[in-house]
Amino acid sequence: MKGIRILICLVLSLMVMRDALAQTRGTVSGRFEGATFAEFALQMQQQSSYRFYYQDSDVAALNISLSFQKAHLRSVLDQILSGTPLSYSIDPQGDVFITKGYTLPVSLPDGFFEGKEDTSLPAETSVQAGLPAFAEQRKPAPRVASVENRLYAVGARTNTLRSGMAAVAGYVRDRASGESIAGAIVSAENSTWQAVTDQFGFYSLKLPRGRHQLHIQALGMYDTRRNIMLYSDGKLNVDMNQRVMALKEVVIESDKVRNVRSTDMGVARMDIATMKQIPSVLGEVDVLRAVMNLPGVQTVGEASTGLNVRGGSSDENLVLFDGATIFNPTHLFGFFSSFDPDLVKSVELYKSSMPASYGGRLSSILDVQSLDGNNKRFSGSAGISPLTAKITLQGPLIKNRSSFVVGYRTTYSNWILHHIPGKYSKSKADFSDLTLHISHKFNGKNQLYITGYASQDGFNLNNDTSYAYQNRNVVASWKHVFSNSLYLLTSAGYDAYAYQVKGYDNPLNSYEQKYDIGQYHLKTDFSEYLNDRNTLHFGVGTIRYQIHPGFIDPLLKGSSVTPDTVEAEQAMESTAYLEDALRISDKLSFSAGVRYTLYTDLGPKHLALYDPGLPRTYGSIESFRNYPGGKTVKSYQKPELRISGRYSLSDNMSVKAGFNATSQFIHELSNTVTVSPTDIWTLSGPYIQPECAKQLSGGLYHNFKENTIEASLELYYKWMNHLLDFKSGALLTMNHQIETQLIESRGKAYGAELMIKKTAGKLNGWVSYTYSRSFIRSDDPLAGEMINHGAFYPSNYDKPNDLTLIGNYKLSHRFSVSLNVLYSTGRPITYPIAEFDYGGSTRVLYSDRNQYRIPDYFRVDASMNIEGNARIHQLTHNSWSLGVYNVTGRKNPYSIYFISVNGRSQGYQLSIFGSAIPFITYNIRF
Amino acid sequence: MHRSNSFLLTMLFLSGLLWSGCQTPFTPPLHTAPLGYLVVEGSIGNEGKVTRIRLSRTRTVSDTSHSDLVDGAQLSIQDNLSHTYPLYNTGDGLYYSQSLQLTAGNFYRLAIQTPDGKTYQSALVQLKVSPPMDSVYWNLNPDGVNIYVDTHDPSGKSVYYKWDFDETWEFHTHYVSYLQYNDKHDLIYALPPDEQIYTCWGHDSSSDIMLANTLSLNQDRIHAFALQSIPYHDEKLSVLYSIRVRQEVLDTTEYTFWSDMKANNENVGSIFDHQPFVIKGNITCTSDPSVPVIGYVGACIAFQKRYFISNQSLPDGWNIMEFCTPTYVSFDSVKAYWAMGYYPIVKNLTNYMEAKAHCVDCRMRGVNHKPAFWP
Repeated sequence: MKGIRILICLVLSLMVMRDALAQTRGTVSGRFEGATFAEFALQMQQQSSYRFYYQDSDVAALNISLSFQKAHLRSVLDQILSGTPLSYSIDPQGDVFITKGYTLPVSLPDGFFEGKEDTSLPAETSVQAGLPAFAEQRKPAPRVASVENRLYAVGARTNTLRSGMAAVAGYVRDRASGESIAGAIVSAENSTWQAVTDQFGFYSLKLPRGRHQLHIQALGMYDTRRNIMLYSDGKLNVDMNQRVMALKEVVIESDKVRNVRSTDMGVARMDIATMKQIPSVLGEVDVLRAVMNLPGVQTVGEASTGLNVRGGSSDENLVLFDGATIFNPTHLFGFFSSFDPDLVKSVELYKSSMPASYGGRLSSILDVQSLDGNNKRFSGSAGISPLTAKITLQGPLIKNRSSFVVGYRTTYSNWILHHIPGKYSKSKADFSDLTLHISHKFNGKNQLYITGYASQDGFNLNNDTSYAYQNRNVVASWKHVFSNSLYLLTSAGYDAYAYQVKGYDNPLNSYEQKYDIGQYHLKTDFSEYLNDRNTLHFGVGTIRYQIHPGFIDPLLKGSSVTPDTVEAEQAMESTAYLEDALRISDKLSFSAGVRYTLYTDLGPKHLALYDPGLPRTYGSIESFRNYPGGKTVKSYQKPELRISGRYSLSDNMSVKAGFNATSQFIHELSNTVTVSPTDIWTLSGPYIQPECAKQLSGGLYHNFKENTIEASLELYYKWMNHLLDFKSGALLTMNHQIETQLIESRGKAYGAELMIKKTAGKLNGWVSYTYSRSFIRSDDPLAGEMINHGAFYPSNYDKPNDLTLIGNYKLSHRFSVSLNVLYSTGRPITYPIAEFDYGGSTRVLYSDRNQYRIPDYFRVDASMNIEGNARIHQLTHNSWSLGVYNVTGRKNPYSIYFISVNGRSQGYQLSIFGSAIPFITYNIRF
Repeated sequence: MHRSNSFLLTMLFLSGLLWSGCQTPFTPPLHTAPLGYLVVEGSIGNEGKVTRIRLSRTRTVSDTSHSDLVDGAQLSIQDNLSHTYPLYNTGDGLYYSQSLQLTAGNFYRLAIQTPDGKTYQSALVQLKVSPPMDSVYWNLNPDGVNIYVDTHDPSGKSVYYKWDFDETWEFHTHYVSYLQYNDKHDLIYALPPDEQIYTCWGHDSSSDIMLANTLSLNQDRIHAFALQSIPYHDEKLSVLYSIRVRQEVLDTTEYTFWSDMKANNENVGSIFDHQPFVIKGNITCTSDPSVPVIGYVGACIAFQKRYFISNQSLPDGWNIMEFCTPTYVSFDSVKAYWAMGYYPIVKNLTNYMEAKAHCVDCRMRGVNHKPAFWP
């Protein structure tokens, strides 16, 4: 009873407190012989204005025998309480608190009522707060209130709280670098109200007015909390502390409760720290190869970084880098991804429930986010691996307002090739990429982001044909916050890809062939937090495509190559979408969206018209029709429905289901198993329908052990229509009538993905098992030929069983080991059914496609990471990573082929990384 | 130190990137029954005035034991004016026409009746005439001799070209021997005067499909198409070498047939392999259209020409000594040495000078009868 009184008194006294200075209330006298504390307290209160607060049980054991004259109460209490577990404190009003085991603070820390934004904190506080817990304990408790204990007033302060809801919004950032944190979860304690920050770290959360404790969680950051008193709509920016000791920290983290609570399905997030811990080929941290380890993502083989997501081909993934489309995200014949890992912040892969704001590809969206750059101080990093050297610089342009980050990566493979005697000394293979990102904060409501990206590749493997290809991207985004409930993001940019092939083997036939694709894009997205039940996302966008499918020109003097140009293709893809994140109850929520696309294939075009009853060949062309520039040749309208729902079975368990429709208007034409840099993109038009897909998916999500273990089971079934396949021996380059080479086909895919992830502790990582199938059927009677007699056949990336273990174990703060174990069924392959002699050699006869499989795939990689020194404050931080890719040296077949050499046909098995490949990399941060 | 560093990097790079080192022979576990599809090889006019057709059947993969040849079939060339020209079986699955005067521009096809009673027919194709080759020439480079062909068609109609060749070369053994061993009677006796085993002629023919087109060129001219490359020191050019090159002109579908065949069988093994596919020929089984047939019978009066390269036009260092050392074998050990592959060269007083057979007997890798065309 008394305890409650004490608390009430305490709160009241805090409310009226004005003066932080302690006062003296005169002296006391007394003489006690075996008195109880209650008697003592009563006498003291009679003599002075002191009031005593205590628990009877705490003081029951005290027996006071003491006499004193005109003494200060403090010295008296010191004598009485010495040697007991009790302590006292006296506040300025003369209230005396007797407590057991602790001392009640009676003066609030400085600045308790001043703070609105914790960014006003002195710098050293941030540093202290940045220390991991074990270090914090040894530090004396700071006199300044920890940001977590302060009470922030949000909105216009009122004496009485109005009822109803108000919105709190702001940015979540990394305290050390000012880097915005995307995907952070801001949730109110003991409720299901939560918000997730967007790619700029912005969140908005509607809550009942009043006091709340907000929990903020993000990848690679220490969880934090903020106490707020929500008066009306207002702002709260949150700075989070990085988990400094990367080695000690979690490898894989997902956003804990997000797994269970959000309506998303088939969404995987990975931050760069995670990717850096996965052992990689030649130590080159690779965004695409890291993503391949996720369930539902397949690849045709080790030579390729092309992703096959849930039975889709590799051109069905939209690879975005800060909103810019990267048409060819690979280097060095597709071996490595073209993202400089030091510039990447995080990666998100949407393989099932795709937000309505995204579209244009069938299977997935791979959203790669760059770093924002440190807006507080200059820093940089550099690293070398057996393949590349790279450097990154970042820092403020205007402190706390604008920052830049720039990175350059290049290979010295040319230098190595030149040192290899003999056969390969004339070969060339080089690449580089340059990334620049600038962000600028005009004010709290306006921010500008600019990203530029350029990559180039060139190779020439000891013959007289050279290849070169380049990506060029620039995108600018402007974010404007109208109010806590409404903001817009508008972006504009240009994306381009081009390749050139030069043949100078024979001067008279020497040629240069070129291809390029470019797109201008403009997009505006609005997000409106309508009320606590509805959050709207809506927007419009347009893309203007232009493709030059091929130029060929004579290269050397005397070449008799005829210059030729394949007619350019152009089209416009305009989109509008609306999506509502709808919260029906704490248990049930939905996300429902519709995306509508109007696609127009535009002139000028010289369109061949074919005899409608015959397969499309050069021979069946009846006439040509000319369309002038800008005139519509063909248009398509595609509405797409995106729905997903979540029902919570308990706090840490939920079921979800969803339906997603997607369509794709731009297609990569590749009749090779692996996508090659010289494959061309073509646009939908009168003869090439937009590809479309529908996916039905469901899942069960369960977190264990305080959300440190996440388990999920997802099921999906997918239908795909108007996929493109190619006629036998199709000629795709410099073809004026590309439609004569294509066959329309259909696909279906289904599967189950089981994943168990441990997100915290010394040992972390994940185990996943996927059962999935994917089939294609080409039964177009007008194609002139049917593959496998028009029956469904397994696609090139149909690998039914896939087991992946990605693990990391921290032996100490400076030392960790990682292990990957990967197993999958071998991919389908076409074997010959017979052999015969023809044209001076033994030849093989192929029949039905993909009826056999190459041997199963199995690989183990191991690596260890050594951090040079774990101290935070030092000039440079060094780290080493060394390991072995394919430890067992297993010759995993990439393909099996039959080749006629010297008159005989022989089968061979081709392995890409057919031995254990050690690597060592060194990185330095400054 | 520097050296070992760069070596380490090189090894890493090689093991990681150069997949050529990672290919190993592979025999798929296939248990298919022999399909026995008819394979028709040859085109009308492929020997000039004579047509040569070869019939065989497909066999199971990796079964190199035999070539399933088809003899005893009835073949004939038919034109669109109902003329019929029979072909005659000469054994080994080969069928030859008589010397015919076929007319360019007319349409021809091949009709086949196999001994099992099935009938086959190729599609009618227009007879083309190959332009003459401008020249076949060679040059010497550090790797050896490369042989090229130049050709052109002033009318511009040829466009699609295909070549094949056969080659013959004279060579000598290291030792000259006039002796011969008869192991049945364990006797060494002199070779008959008209028999020699020192000079022989080797023979080979092209096994790669060689195609070129002039579609992307502003004239119907092929320059320096590489036919053959002979590595430095090769025995083929040790005395005199001859190559007979045949040039044919194809139509579009025939060219596609051959380039698909090449794509499926020769342009494979890279990381960017295309899907293997079914190749369509132009022959159907008329008695049962569901029976697959392999082959494309085109019609083109081929141009053939023979060229010679003499060792005298090559640098002195071309010929290198074969590794041959004499062994002296006592009379009673001849049989034992014969079993080990030794061949007598000269009879001495107490023994025979012998050497490994390839140093003595040129018939090990050629024939000792001079071809009719040899100068």
